Amino acid sequence: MKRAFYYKDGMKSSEAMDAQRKMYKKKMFLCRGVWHTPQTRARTNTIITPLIFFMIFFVNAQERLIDAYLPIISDTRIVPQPQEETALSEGYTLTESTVIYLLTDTPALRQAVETLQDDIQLRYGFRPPLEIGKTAQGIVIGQNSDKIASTLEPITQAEGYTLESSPTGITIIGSDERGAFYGVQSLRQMLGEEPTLRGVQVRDYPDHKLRIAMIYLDNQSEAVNDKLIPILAQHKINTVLVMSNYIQWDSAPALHVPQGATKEQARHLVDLARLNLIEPIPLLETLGHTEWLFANNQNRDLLQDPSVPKPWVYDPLNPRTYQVLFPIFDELFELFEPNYIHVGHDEVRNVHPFPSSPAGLQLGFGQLFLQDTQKLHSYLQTKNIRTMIWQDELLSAEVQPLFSQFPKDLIVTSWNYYPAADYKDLTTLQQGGFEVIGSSWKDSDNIRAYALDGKTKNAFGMLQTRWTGYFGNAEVIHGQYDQIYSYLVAANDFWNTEAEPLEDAAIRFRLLWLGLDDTRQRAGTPVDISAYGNVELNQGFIGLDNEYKLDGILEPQRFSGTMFIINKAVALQGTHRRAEAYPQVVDIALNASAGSLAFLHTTPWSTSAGTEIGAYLVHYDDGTTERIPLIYGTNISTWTDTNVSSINLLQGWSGETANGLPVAINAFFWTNPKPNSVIERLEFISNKGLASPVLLGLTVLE
Amino acid sequence: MTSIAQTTLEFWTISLSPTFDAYINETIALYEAQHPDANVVWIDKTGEQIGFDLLNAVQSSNAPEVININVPMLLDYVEQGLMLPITGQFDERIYFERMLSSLQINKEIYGLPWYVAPPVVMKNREVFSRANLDPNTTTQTLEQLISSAKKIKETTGIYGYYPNILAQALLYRFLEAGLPVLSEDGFTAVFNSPEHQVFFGEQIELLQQDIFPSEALLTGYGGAIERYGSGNLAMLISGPQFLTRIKESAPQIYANTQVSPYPLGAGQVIHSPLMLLCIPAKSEYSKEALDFALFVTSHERQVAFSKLTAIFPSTARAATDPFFTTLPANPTPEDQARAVIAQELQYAKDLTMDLPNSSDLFQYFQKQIEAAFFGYKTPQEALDDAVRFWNAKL
Repeated sequence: MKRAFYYKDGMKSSEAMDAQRKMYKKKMFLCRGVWHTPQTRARTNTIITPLIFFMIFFVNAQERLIDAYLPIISDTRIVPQPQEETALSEGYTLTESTVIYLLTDTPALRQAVETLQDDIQLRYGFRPPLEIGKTAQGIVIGQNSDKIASTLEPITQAEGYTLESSPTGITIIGSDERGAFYGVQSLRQMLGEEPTLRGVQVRDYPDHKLRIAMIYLDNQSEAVNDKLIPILAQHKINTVLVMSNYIQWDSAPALHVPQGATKEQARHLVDLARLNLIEPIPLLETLGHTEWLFANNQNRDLLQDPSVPKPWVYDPLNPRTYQVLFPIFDELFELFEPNYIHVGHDEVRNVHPFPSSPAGLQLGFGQLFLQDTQKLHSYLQTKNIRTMIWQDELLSAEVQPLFSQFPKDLIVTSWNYYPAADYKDLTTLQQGGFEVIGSSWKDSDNIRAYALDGKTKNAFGMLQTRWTGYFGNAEVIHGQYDQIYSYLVAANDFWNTEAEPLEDAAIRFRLLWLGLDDTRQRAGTPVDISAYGNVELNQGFIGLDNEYKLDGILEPQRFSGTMFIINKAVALQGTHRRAEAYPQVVDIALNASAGSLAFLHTTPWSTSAGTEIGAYLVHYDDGTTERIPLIYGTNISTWTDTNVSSINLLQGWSGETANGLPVAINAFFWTNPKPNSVIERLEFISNKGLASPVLLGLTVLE
Repeated sequence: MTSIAQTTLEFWTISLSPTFDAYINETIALYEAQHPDANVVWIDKTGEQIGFDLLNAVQSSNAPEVININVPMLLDYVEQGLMLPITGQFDERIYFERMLSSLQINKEIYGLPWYVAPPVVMKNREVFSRANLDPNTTTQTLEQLISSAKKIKETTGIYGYYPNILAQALLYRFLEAGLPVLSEDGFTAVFNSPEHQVFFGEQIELLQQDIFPSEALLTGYGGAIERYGSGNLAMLISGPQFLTRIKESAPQIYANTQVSPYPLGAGQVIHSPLMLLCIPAKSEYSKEALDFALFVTSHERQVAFSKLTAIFPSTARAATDPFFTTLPANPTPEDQARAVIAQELQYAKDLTMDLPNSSDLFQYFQKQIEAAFFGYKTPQEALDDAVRFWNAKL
């Protein structure tokens, strides 16, 4: 079966394998003890199957590892990190006789308990029954008002809870319904591989009263929000700000666009949020950002200058403006039954001049902004709804002098997307008499710093914004994934402003989103590709000087849960002068069957997301091939991109170059459609663009 | 009866129709009259459309002869091998040296400069008067401009300065100040020297002292025009085309506007986005194409074009035309701008850089300078970090 073929450099496969063997032996000597304990390593002769026999025979230079893959997140960490957590020597063991006792039955708590039952069943194969309104030994879930006996001092803060796991049972006591709900979410995260839970006492409560995540509502809402809402709730987000411009309003059928959500879809979202104890706040952009009001070329008479090519701001001096707007607000009231409505009012002057009518110019921007805010606020007040607006125009030179004339119960969401020690706008707004909500974005340093400053300044809450466009909900996890997993970073920091940073948010969210059962270790064989290598990792990467060496990746060598042998990398040809001399194609001998292949790879330069930059061409011993395209931004990205832009991208290794540049190398898992066939070789191919591929590690997983 | 063999020259422009139909058609008619064998077919496209269509046309061997693009597009197309070098095939002395050098990539010239609109300083005379400052003599250098802005803010409460320093704009400001961004071979970023740090640090101090509004960093330069138009900015540094907008939306401010030259720094350059004409590598009649492009960019045709809108010529001779050099008795701000810019043209250069992964580089640079402006990093840390990233990619 073993075929001789020639590599691009003229080396025969057997010669290559010999070289590989030499390198491998050297590596194992160096790595022995670093890699594995004797308990976790198994020689190939410990498990003999025909499949593995092939691997012994063909990947003869490598060593099979029983734990070549370990679950990426196998911890039982509670996220957000609790305020107080004390370890006990022993915890509770779940058994088939365990019963869950829920003292006060509510739809949300019932639903939370059901997810807990599901989790236990999935992991341990049995489903603890639920009993309502009584308590005994087992898992007890109640609230302060239920007067449950506990060794822990009751939590008094709203939404707080205590949780104790000891050999005698688990007790969760919330200060209120949300507290009990969050206690259950924490317990769900404590379920590990074994049914014996860690012993712990938790006292927990939020630093921020409102912990808001901004989400979108479009005709693909269910595909994203039905999954997203429970994940947000699990991480103790208690409010969503729902971009609502394009709901298909009954009162304005001419504004309907096909991508807009129906009212049924909106209602579904509201119900789902409330079932998860998440309060929805609709965001209807008014004054500025009102393209939606002019959709389908409607309402152009509401512009001060009807000739503008891209309508953006309505005319607050035109009475008909409010004849159109107020019925839409009425529908919002009916649909959301909200306590707050966000009316936008940001970036009013970003697109076309405003004011532009003679009357508008005479009044000036400040007065127009004030009058419109007052009008909307008055209308919302009649329904006992508080008004939220953005801060940027409010703080402008024309508006700020009018602060005293604005309603004082206005809540201002103050966006600032940069890390800072002091978010001064919060102070300015508070001095102006407003309640404020800090609004962060995807930079984890920004989220963390803002949450802390918001707590220091006693902000009304924190808002994690997301700017992914009004439509295209279904695509956000690709291309803009960093805006999605940032929800978890925000949840962690908004709840506990002194929590440890959540470094693994991208992978955590991915596992939750994809519902991956990542609890199983897998055997496999790391492949030593150094015989084909042309880039020394203890020297500057791809022709750079030694300040840019990636030696940090040489140890340890388990990335994205997978063991790799990393020594030299294989770089392919590209258009950059530093990549021109590399080969366009490199053949890598494998001679192994595989359930999947794990690649650790990158590109020195970036290109547009979706560009095919090269491929792995899998050659089976039966003469057939499988092509694995390398799609930039989907399964490979550049080493300096430390954000994870697609849910498909797994950050294998992240670290720094010798001179401190943050870098990351992606892992990519490919499931082999022909696991019983032997893969003779891989052709590693470059399309010779700027983003030329570089392979650092390869592992065959069974 | 004799027939003349026709050479069809396809000429693509960006967004000139219908506003300039008469001018372009007249130019073509004049050219065809001088070249009876030429048949120029003009096609106007949007900026978004032109790149896509060019790729398709090249792939189907149907490339146009002459195409009107900007410098960033040129860099992109040259990298893809789509453009023809024309070095040594025309008299380079016709064009302003700095503008022509904007089109030089790897020692080859890839186009003819067509038109530019260099910035000027527009001043609100009424605010200057309230600050007891003479608008004619107080902004010849950046230092003077900032000093005036400080006095204006102090005495009137109105911002005088609104810098354009987001992302690559700060790099242009470095170059204008005579501070290099790259090493001579272009392979190393060098914008973290002590001199760069001082220049950048001064801008940070100005923000901290509230000499310019933080919205300059948050919402970009568009806010400057709005502020100036509403009387809340004493000086607007901008291209002359915005005078038209101010004339329409804020006639009182327009009437009070005095136009001064852009302060020239030690770099002796003024960043001016440039429109150009170039010839695709697969153009069927490249020689005739160059001849037509030279005609379109000739001083006569450029002066005629400049009379229609606020654009300025790339040829030294056109800039000496009385249209630019002679002011009417009571010059409007637009008249003033015309005369001021005619003097600036010799310094006008499109400073767009030819960089691999330029959007990544600028994005990273932007993030670093924002961190410094908002106090999260020192100027030195921010510039060092950006240089380290750039050097990983250059």
